Amino acid sequence: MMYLLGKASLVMMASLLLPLAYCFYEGSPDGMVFLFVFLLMAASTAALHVEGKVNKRHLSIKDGVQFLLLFWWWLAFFGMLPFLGSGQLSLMAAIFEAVSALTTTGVTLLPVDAPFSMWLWRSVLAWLGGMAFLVMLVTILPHVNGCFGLTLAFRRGMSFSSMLKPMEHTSLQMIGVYSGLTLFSWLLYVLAGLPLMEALMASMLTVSTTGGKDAFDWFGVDGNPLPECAAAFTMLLVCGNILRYWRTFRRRDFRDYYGNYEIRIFLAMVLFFGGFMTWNLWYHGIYDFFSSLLHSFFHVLSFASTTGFATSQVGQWPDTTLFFLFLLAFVGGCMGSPTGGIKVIRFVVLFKLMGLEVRRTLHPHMVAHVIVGQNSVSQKIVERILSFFFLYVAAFFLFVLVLCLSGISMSEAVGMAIAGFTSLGTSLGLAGKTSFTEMPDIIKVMGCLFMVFARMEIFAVLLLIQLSFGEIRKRW
Amino acid sequence: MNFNLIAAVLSTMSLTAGAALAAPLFLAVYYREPVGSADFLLVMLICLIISYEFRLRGRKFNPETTVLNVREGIAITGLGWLMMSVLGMLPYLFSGYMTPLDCFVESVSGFSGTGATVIEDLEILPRSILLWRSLTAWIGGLGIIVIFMAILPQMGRGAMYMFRAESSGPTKDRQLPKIRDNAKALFLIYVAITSLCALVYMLCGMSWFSALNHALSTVATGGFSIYNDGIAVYDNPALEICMIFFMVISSGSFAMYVVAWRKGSQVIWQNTEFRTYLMLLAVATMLIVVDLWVEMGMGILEGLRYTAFHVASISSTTAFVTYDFDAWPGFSKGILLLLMFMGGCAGSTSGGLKISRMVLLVKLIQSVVWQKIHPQIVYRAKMNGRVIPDEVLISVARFFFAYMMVEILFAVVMLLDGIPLMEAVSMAVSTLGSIGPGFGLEGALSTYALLPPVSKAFACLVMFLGRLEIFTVIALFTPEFWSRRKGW
Repeated sequence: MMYLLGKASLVMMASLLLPLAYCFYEGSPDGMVFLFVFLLMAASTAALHVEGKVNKRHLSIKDGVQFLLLFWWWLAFFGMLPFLGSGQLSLMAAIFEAVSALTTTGVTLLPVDAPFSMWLWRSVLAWLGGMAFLVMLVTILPHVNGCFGLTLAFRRGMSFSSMLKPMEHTSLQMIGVYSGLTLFSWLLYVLAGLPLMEALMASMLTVSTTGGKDAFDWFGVDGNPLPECAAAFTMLLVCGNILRYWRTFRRRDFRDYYGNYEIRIFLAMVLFFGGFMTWNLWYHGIYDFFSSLLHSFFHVLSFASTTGFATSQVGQWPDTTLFFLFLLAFVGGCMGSPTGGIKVIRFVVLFKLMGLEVRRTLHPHMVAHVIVGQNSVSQKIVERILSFFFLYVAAFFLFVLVLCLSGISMSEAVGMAIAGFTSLGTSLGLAGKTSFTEMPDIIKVMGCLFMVFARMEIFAVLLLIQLSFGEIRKRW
Repeated sequence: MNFNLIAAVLSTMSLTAGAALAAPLFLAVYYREPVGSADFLLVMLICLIISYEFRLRGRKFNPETTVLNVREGIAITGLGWLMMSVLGMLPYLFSGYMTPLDCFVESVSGFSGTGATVIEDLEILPRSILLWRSLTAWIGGLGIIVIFMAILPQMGRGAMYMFRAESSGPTKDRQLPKIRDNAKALFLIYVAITSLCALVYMLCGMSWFSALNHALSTVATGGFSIYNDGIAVYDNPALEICMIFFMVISSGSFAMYVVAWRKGSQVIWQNTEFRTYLMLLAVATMLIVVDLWVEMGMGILEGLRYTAFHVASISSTTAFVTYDFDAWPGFSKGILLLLMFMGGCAGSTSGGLKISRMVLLVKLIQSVVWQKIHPQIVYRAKMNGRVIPDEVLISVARFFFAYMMVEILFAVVMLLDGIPLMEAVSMAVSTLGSIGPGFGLEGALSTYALLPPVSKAFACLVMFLGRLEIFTVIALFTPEFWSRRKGW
């Protein structure tokens, strides 16, 4: 586990160089903070490498679970130091900000007038977080957490082993595609008219599906629909199965990609909801037709990809559209993307199960399987997906209750909980704007916990608890 | 699909409905209500006519040789409920106080045990109508089919399918070998508890009419009151305590009471589900009392009085109200919402997802976690001392998903109809769970009166779905269901 942490720290250290360079370029005093953090990280990474010089070729479940959960806090610690050091945020707020970025949620506590380097660091953290999630998705998560429909998204020939070498191989592929997408997005944003550094920031935030407060007024500026289009297109791409892009790219076979069941359902969903919202907004007279089209699809994609960009006028939209947007966040994108939510493929299986269930009332002794694409889904996976759904809803509701403890009303709590739990991170609430800034510190900490748990598909937490109980009992 | 059989059964049911109308008729005559008497007489006549028509249709039915299959069982249950709801709305319709849609909603609300009323002013209604209202709740509480089977002669093989189609809960088991004996036992316990309840209410100071109506409504966990302000009118702590007692009793499995009657009361304490339920009530009460004290400054004793009452009321899905809990802080409302969702025990008159399902879902998660850590382990879920097969666990999880989807669908329909977000969501939860009131628009006073027509109609459908546990009703809508020839 130390070994893996060491590698992760190394990557993060490298990413510190970007804001560091920027600070020196701009001559900002925050550069000192970044330098300090850089040196600190270098020391710890070296320590980790020495400690973690391990001959293990195999990752045990215990190691895996511990890594999954501790990883975030380790990175969050270093991630929050710049925020803290520059005096922009208090301790709790800094931790929250770091965790929020790393889990690609995107709820931000930074004041609007914070220095550019802070915003930049935030987007770097977010980008790292997205990448980390993807890497974990194909390496540790399936082995440790159990395949909650994961194997459905990847064809035969993809094996998830607990060996470290093949893990490196797949993770490099993921990183490659991810970086490629980011560069492509950067290009799009530059073409849309954003200044270079801001375009970089935007692309990092979009590709990692972090999003958050639109502090630089990129979107919703009248007369310039291009950034929104760039964002929408990027988000559409990002919702797909990232690893599949690698295969498609290598084989130059685009039809193969489209043939994937999940992505088709996702596209159908986007079209349907986008279309409905376009009609609804136009019908209620909020926008004319083309604006309606633009804003609907932008927001549908923003919420479906759990990015969470929202223009300020959305608060006035009719309740139906808001409800749909938040529902979309629950669904999320395809398996294998950095989005949050429950993922499309799981819903596909669940709905097909419902069809079977209706038939089952008439034929109680029927034996039947759900078929997705060309593969039938085994009982074990069905069981996992069903239990995951329950767990997700239950944990979500728990989160709402915890938030309510701070004294806010239930509707506000639900809005904030959705934002945190599905890694949506929008500043828009169900009942108007909500803000995590005013939450008491203990709630911020709980928020962090829930964000990490949700990202790690909740089961990791249960596993850890169960394993710990086992340890305690053994020691007795 | 044996239509003769269905027709014959429905005809007998219609006759039974006519018989049930005798009570309000009697009351109408006793109180010399001209409108009421004519009203109920007319409805009884209609029941007789319908019965006759169906009997003609089902002439070829021969009880000894006919076998009831799954489909017929479901059809009878579904259509029987529909028919009763329609017949049940006629008294309201003829009395002229409500629009046709409202009458139907009131009827369905009664039979499904929801208890949400569309009537704006209860106190001007004649007594016979009020009695009928409470009767619909009472009949629907235990179940039309159960009562039917208890009173009438032997059905023949396969009556089990009807029983199963109507009863609630993940495992539909029974205590006595013969279905009819089962039904009779359940019915007797039901009548006994209701009578006791009415007696106790009278002792607490209610008038006999009031006590009867409220008892009928309590044990059925429906929630109809005969006063506009509900129970708040009384402001009688002793009464509230008695109500709490009976509401909690009514949300225990009646089948469990049948067994307890024969084997002794330790059965009740050994029942995992009921124990979990009681524990949930205790924890919820504690949490809310503390929250009310901290956030609203409500004194502990006062808080306890209101909290205990509402926790019992909501989790039993009765929904009598003594305090407008819309004013309560978010945390308390959240807990109440959770209780609404979970409901009471399986095999009771309450609605909701059912406690046994929640227990099984938690056990499902546990089994998955265990299997991950110890891949060789064989995990056996146990409840009430019996092993629950994996298949049941998975079917419970499927039901959970379906339940959530229906709620979301209903919320969307209401949103499209113009109802604000939080109201739509809470109403969806409350309707499917057969509770009645919600937060916001209808407030704690449980009236659907302000809903637009489409939502009202959809609410009826959802109330059906809630009472008959979703899949039974959906099956009725598939064309495959109705085909004459049995495919497979």
